[in-house]
Amino acid sequence: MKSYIIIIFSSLFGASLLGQVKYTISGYVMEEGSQEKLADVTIFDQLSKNGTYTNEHGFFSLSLDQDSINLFVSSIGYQDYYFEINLKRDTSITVYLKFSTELETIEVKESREVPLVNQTQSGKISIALDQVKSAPALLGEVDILKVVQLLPGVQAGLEGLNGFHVRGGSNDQNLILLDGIPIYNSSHLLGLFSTFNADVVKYMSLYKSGFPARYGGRISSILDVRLKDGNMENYHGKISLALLSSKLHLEGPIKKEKSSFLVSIRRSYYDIFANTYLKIVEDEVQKINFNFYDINAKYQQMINDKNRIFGSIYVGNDIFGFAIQQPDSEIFTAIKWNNKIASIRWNKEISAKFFSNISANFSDYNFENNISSTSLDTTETSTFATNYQSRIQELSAKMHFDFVPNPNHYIKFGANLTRYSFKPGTISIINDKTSSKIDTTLGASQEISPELSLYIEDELSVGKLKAHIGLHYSAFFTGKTYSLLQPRVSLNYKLMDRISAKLSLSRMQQYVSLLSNETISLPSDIWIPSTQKLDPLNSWQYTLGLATSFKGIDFSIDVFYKKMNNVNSYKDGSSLFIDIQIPWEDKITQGEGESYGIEFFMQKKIGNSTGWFGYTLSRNWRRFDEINKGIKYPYKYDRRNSIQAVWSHQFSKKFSTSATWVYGTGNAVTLPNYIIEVSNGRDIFIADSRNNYRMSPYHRLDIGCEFKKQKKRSVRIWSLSVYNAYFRINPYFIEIVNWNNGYRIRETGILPIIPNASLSYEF
Amino acid sequence: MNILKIFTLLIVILSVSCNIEFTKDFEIASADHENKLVINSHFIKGDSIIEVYLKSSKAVAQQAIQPELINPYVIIEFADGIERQLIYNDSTELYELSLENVQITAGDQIKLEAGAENFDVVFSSQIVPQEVNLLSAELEANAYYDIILDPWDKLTIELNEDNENDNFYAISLSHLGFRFARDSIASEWKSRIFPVLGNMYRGGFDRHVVFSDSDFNGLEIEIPFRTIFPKDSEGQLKSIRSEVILESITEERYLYLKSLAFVWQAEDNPFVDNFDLSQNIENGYGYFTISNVDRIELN
Repeated sequence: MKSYIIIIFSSLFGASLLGQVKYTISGYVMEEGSQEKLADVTIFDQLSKNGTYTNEHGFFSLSLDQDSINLFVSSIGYQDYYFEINLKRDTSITVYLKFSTELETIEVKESREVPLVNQTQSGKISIALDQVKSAPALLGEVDILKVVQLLPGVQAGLEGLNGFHVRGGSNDQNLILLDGIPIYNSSHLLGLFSTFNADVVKYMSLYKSGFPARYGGRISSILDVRLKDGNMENYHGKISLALLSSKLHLEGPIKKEKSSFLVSIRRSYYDIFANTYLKIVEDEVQKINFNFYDINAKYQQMINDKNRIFGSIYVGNDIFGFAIQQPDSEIFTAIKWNNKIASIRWNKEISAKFFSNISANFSDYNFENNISSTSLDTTETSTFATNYQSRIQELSAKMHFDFVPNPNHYIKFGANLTRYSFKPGTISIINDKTSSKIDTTLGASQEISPELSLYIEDELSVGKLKAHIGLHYSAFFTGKTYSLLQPRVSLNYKLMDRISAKLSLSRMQQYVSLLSNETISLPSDIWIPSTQKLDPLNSWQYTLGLATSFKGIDFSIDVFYKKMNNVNSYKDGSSLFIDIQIPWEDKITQGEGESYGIEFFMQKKIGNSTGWFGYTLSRNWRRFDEINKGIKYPYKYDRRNSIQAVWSHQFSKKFSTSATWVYGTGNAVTLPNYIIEVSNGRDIFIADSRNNYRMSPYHRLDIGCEFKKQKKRSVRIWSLSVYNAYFRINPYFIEIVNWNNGYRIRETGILPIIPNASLSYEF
Repeated sequence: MNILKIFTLLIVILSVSCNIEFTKDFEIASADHENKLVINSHFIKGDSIIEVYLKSSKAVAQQAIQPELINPYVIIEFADGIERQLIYNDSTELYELSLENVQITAGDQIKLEAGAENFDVVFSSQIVPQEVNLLSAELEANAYYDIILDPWDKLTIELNEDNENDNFYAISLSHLGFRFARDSIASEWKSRIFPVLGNMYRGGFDRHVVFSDSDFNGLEIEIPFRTIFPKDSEGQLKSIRSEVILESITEERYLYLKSLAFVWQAEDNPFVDNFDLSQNIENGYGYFTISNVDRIELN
């Protein structure tokens, strides 16, 4: 422990001892017109060769020698901005970048900074929203999480669903943040859509390794999604109609350049079509509920040049159920799950070098399964109902500070205090029939657990070496206190002008995990805390890589190794809905996981054609004392080879096309490999080990195109896409079936070729 | 108009594609399995014969052949130390041994050995469990077969065991036509909605509920389940003789029946995790188990 602290402090002060008189130029970078603050914008002085970048809130600070400076401000998707200034005092400025609608030529300016080579973290990928929006969309809905699944090192979960697995980790090991607030269920309609409405997303970054110290609580990845704040100058909106869902988006100033609002609503309507169909063809009165809606709303208020307040909420609701009405009874069943998020945040520019972000946040995920049946007997009407509920809530306060003492250091530090409330599965049973009344509740009671975390990190430059070093400390209280000091180190060494070597080491700890059936993840999977019996998950991850760029294309190759401890799984024979009298903790066993591999990635971000190509070769294992006789076995999503190719081309301002192609080795599944007969003559199928079989490889091509037309007051956009264009039957599940006095394996797919069209108007 | 045509075409493609069945069948690759001997044998103290089923396991392959056993044998050694070879009965296809002159007492260790040419010799052993006495049993039979709303049957038993071991039990009812309701709705409702006291499972053959000492405090236990008692044309219960059968079983039998229930539950559901069948045959598969039994007649 002591050695980590010494290293950080010496690097904090070492460089400053060599500094001369400097002045600080600081401020914000915003998008011209909307005044949306832009993150990760490069600000570079071409005379002194010093630079920095904006933080998540668009703020930057750069200390330079007094004298003339020549600043170059650049961000992908925006026109570059140059200006000269004679720096004689601390200066505060706001830079407005114009969104680039011009088609760029292929020629790339050689002096331009290429982010990937200079990026300290080897495992960070930033995806521009344009690339997300141009990717072909399943059912017409642009989906951020489906684009994340197209990145190297990321495995998709089951076909069509939104779970993702990063370098061998499970879905719950991803910290998914919506404006800095964790979201516990990131999908709608059992995973067909994500909770992120692409119309309100400003940018997103995925960290697969080299995690900055300000992040904690998950061991495999961080997906940081930031939403727009609302246009401060003009009113804008968008209406979209697709085959199965629609969206409405509105934003604009409440008071110009002082306050703004943003509201976005989505709703699906599959059930409307289905109910109409049922009314026509079915005799029984039936009704299906299968829909989702979500609402994003945000408000920002500029108090003065240095202070801003933001308030935001997100509400998302899903329901999947049906009702059957018969002459003597009514049966109703529904699965419902919903997310609620609320946040209030205060950004303050304390000084030219010091920025703070303080927030209070709330996140709530609730799952319910209701079944009720009412008997309409003429002599006695009675209702029998059960309700299963699982819930997690989080209330937190966060303080975060950016301190930029000089161009060689960028220090971030802060603290978070979180109060978790868990309700890991309760069942209520009611039967009001006179002869046998029941009204009881079974299962786990509510558990409250607080967590405290502190962190400090510094991004520093020493000659050819850039380092991002930090410490994250967290403590979780649950009748027993768990705590861990987690070092985070990322190094980037410039071997040559355009080639850098990268190394990272991360220690992570996770106190909250998702307990799910290994075969399939469902919204009924429950979030559970670490307890006195269950230790927190933790991991070590090491990465070594090379990055370069050539003619505007970034290349990288990374080797990684990750060791996970205390991963959770149901014991053999245990399940959520069996033996509900048994405490849920006693149904769980803990073990370890290991993954390692090599990733190749190339990405082109500028020009008429953009996209990326990724290839990953990896292995991924699990081992539990109480499963598979203690022998390690392949993790379900262990895919030896995976390939992702994404391409989009803009032919003109009015027409663009895109395509994606993915390939992955088949999932590991458990299939019986021998049969024994039990004494009543019945065969038992037995597998001698877990995940002993591979499904067929998965591959799929999606294509899409977009037609834009400028109308009087709006832009009309037609989007056409085809999911699974060559109709590959990708296996969703697998089983043994009888066949000619023997047996065969049957793979069943669920998603056919799915065309889609959507119409949008942007105004 | 062009847009309308495109929309129409898309709807047609979507509708047609959603109606196409897309499954793919594969032949299972050549058997990646080493055949071993399978033993099925359970006997109750007091039985007049012991029966052992002996076969080979079979690979899950399209046309996998179950090998014939050459020179098979089964030997059982009782507490008296004498090894007795079982005789094959052609009509029952079982290996049998008469227990007329064999003394079996609670606490005795009984060993089994079986073999055949080209197979590993298999072994197993059991300790005969202690006796447990049923003191009383009372049944409320209220359930009907397929009406979900109706209450369940309730069996209340009182038993007496005077040893300090951790005992295991299997309980069942015996009458003509008895079985647990095994339709899928009933089984789902049973496991998901109604509280099953402790680690109770419906074990094999739809007959047993198995539980252990650790599952209940004291000596009175309620077991909710469904039975199908025969009824007359007016829906009234027929008068029948029925017995409650309580077996004191070994832990191996308890684990076998418990895991078997989950195997049945999981076998037709591709979304349920695989369950390992608990077996106690060394170098082979299957089970060799023993129980003690007590019975009480129900009114």
